[in-house]
Amino acid sequence: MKRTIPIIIAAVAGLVMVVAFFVPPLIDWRETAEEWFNILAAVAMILGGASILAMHLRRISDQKRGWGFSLVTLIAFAITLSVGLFKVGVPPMAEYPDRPWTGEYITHGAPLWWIFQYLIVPITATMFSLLAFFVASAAFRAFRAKNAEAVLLLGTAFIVLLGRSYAGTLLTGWVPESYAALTLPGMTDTIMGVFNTAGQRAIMIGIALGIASTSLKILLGIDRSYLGNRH
Amino acid sequence: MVKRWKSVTAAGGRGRLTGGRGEPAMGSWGTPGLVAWVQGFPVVGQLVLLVVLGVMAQPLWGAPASPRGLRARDVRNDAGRALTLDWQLSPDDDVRLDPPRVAGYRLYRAEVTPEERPRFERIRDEQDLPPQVDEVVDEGLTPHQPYLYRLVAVDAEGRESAAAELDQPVRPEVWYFDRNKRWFLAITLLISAGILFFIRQARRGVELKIRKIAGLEAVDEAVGRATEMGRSMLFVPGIQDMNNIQTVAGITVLARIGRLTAEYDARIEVPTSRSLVMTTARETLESSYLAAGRPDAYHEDMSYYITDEQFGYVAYLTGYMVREKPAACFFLGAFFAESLILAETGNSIGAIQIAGTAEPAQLPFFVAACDYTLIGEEFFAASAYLSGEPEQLGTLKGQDVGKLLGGLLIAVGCLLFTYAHGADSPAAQRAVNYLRFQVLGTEDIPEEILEPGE
Amino acid sequence: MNRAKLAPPLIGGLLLVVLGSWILVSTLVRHRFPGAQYRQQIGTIDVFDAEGVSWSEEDQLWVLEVDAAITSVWDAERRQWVLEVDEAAIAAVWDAERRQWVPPQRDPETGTLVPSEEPAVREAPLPDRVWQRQRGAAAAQAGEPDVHFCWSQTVGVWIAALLTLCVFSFLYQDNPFYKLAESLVVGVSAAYLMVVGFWTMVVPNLIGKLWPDFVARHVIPEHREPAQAIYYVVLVLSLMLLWRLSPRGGWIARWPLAFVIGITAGFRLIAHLEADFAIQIQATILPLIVRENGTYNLWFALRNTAIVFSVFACLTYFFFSIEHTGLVGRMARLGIGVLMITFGAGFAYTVMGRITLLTQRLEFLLGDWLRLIG
Repeated sequence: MKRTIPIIIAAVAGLVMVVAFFVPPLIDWRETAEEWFNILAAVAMILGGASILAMHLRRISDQKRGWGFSLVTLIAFAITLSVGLFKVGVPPMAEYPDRPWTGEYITHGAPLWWIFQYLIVPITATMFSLLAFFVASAAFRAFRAKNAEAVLLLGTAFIVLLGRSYAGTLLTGWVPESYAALTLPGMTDTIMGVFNTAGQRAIMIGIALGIASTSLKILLGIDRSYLGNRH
Repeated sequence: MVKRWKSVTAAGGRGRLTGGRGEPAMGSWGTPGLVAWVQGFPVVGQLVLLVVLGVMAQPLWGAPASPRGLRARDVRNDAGRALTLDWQLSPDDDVRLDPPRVAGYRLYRAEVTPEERPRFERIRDEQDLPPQVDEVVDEGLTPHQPYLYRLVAVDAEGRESAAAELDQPVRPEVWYFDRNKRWFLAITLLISAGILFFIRQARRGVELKIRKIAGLEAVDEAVGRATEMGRSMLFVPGIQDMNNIQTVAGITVLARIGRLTAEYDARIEVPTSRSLVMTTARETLESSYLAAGRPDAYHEDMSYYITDEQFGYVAYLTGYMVREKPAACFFLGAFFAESLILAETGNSIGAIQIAGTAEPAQLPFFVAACDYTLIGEEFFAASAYLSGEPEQLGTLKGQDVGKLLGGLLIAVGCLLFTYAHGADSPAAQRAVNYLRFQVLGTEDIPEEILEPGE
Repeated sequence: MNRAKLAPPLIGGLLLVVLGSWILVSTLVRHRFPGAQYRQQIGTIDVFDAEGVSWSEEDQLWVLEVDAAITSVWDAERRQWVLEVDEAAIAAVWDAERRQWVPPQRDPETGTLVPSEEPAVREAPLPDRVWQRQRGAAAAQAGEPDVHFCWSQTVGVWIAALLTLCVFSFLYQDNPFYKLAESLVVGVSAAYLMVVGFWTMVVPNLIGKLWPDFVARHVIPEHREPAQAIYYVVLVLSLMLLWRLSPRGGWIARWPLAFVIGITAGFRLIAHLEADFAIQIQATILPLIVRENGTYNLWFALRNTAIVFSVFACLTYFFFSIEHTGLVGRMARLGIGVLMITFGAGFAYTVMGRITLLTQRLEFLLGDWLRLIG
């Protein structure tokens, strides 16, 4: 019961999705299923919240090293959640000033907006921008290439980088028109149009087959590792 | 800001150029004095005057000529909710005219029921179709319900032409099988059959050989090293939710790694960026520990939720990596821009790193910074490979059948295409187009594509 | 990564000194300190940034717009019909005296919009509080009437700038400042996305489908959907999922999980076979001899041949059944080569975009905060 029913649920739900693709009157079910998933994912956030509480409360009560930071997380979490769920400082919609809950939850100037604008955006955007440094260090590592494959990767990257910039046009501008394919922009064009296209296609075809087999294993109940093995 | 005032008063907020079903305008001729003057003529004279005036005034205030030949047909391969209508343009719908005589077309629809006379109602949300349009798909209909249509041309003043009508009601039919997808169904069944065939072979005990996949051979080594060093392992199932099959594939690999971890008595942590992934990871790990015979060693905190925010999650992971210095990092799932930050940080702390994803744009970064990278299909093969179960390995053989099928299609297609080009053969060109657009496509294809060179 | 031990603290200290002096100088000399934010009060009204409400400079009143209308208009010059989007179809204007939204009319003398005497568009009682309508103002506008110093946003910019520096400090090594930023963002963003999920998914798509009247009355006035009983299934699945929180019977959560995973498997099986298998093969079917206007184009023939051959080589690499030895091995090696070129190209394509991200952050620090640029 604990194992069999979930497997039947997965199989039926999956097969319905497959059949719905070929049967026009059912095609909308695929969208509905996506929506249902999104609802479940949103509800599941309660579990996520419980996990956050449990983890950090334990760290604080155990006075583990760095428990102060757990306190910061918990306080930030609690304040944001209450400000957002109760729409603190959010005015109602213009046409319905008598209905206090009708305002947009993230109205400009409201506390949740402030939190988003001045806490979330700067930290996440800066995290994202760190990539510029990581790209540099990864390129440097690849530069000390140990094998032919790494040389190929880096060489291509180098050509494409130059070929797409003004430097590429400048460096190989003297090459006569009839040999345009040998200029850096010309080589970039060939790399993108031939090898990159071919590589991407082969990867995609492989991925499709991998996904087909992964999905089939789930639908047939062969891979039930997410529910535990049969051993 | 305030651009159009008139439209507000005219139509109560919904701007509309035309003013409803206007009767042909009569101008300001109808003054009593004029009528009396005309009435002074003999009857025949009155009639002649009327005809002459009418003919002269026609271009000035008459309604445009009507469109002709209105036809309706069922939209194929749909759920019976649409009809296609086409017609010949009104002779007055001429782009060379200035000002133009036709401002658009207005479509009326009536449901045909045995009980009452059909009542025509204007459709398309009170918006007229633009001029020079001679086909429209009317959507949102009731399956099997007969409909009648009436089409008029309207001019800028909203005067309607005489109507073009259907002589027979049409019904949108429900198609219970999308015929455009028949070849795709065949391909899907063939690939599935290939996979199923090898699963059966494996169950019968036929030995299946699979080549070594270096990244997966290294999993054992990674877990072993973490145990030796007494350090933890980090498993990152990507940043997407369970509706991404890559996350599902990552979790199935986690089941194998979890089992190894339990057997070696190593430590594993699975921070997730989605609550559902956390829940699934917990179920999976619990089962793995149970399968390894060590249910007591499992505890829920092995998998925990961080945040749905992509870079908030990354901030936590990088901090965790430099502080806890896990001996092995597994990045298996759907990754985006964060791939490089994670892999580089892992690299800097000297962890063994095994990555796998089907995001082509992120593979370069994993390849550059990880020890082993499972590229696309290899990632999906990981769960089967690590399980070592014969029937799971059978699915890998089945995937190879799919690749053979793909290769065959490409080879046949290319040869046909080459022949069509080289020998200038329309028949070969037709065959190529059929293969490309009918066999390998699922959309409705216009006839022209299948009948080239005409 | 090797780092000289002394250099970073030295550079950091130097930066701090420069920064400190800059703040001191600009506060003393220019009466404006970095990061100061201003706001301009542009009217008082019972609404604040509401959908469809805007201030009409021309008419000097608040207008309520409704959905845009599209009309076709004859363009005599271009001799063709053009679609004109009527962006501002005004439904009502705010009557400051009656404190109601009323239909507008034109003032016959000035031609501007004025409130009419007609009854209110919507019978809304007077709101119990008044919202000030404001917009951000540039620092250069400081001192102008209605432009005020804005504490909350100034503090915000300072905090944002300091947090940005905290994250950058991670490049040197892990430190308490980074830990602070990290623990803050984890807590805040998790809660923020829960709030988003609640208001954009749970309320309209679950509660709104089960009890539409309630949602329409209190939260989303435009919510016009009939109740759909099938959504009780989703409700039950949700509750099963939450059963995980109870100490016993957590296995019941596997049912919704199995549902989710089954849906994903079925959905993706088809989606990827269609988009990634069929469509990619379709695109790879190319003529190996290309004839244009009766002559052979060698270059295109070469390109096409290279594409097809490369795809075959890569597919050989992915083949699981045969060991990579002999002819297959050589083909697979070629395949790896093609993949590496693909990855190299991908690498290069991403590099430029990443540098832009960094410059954006620096622009924030130097412009919005320190006001050294812009």
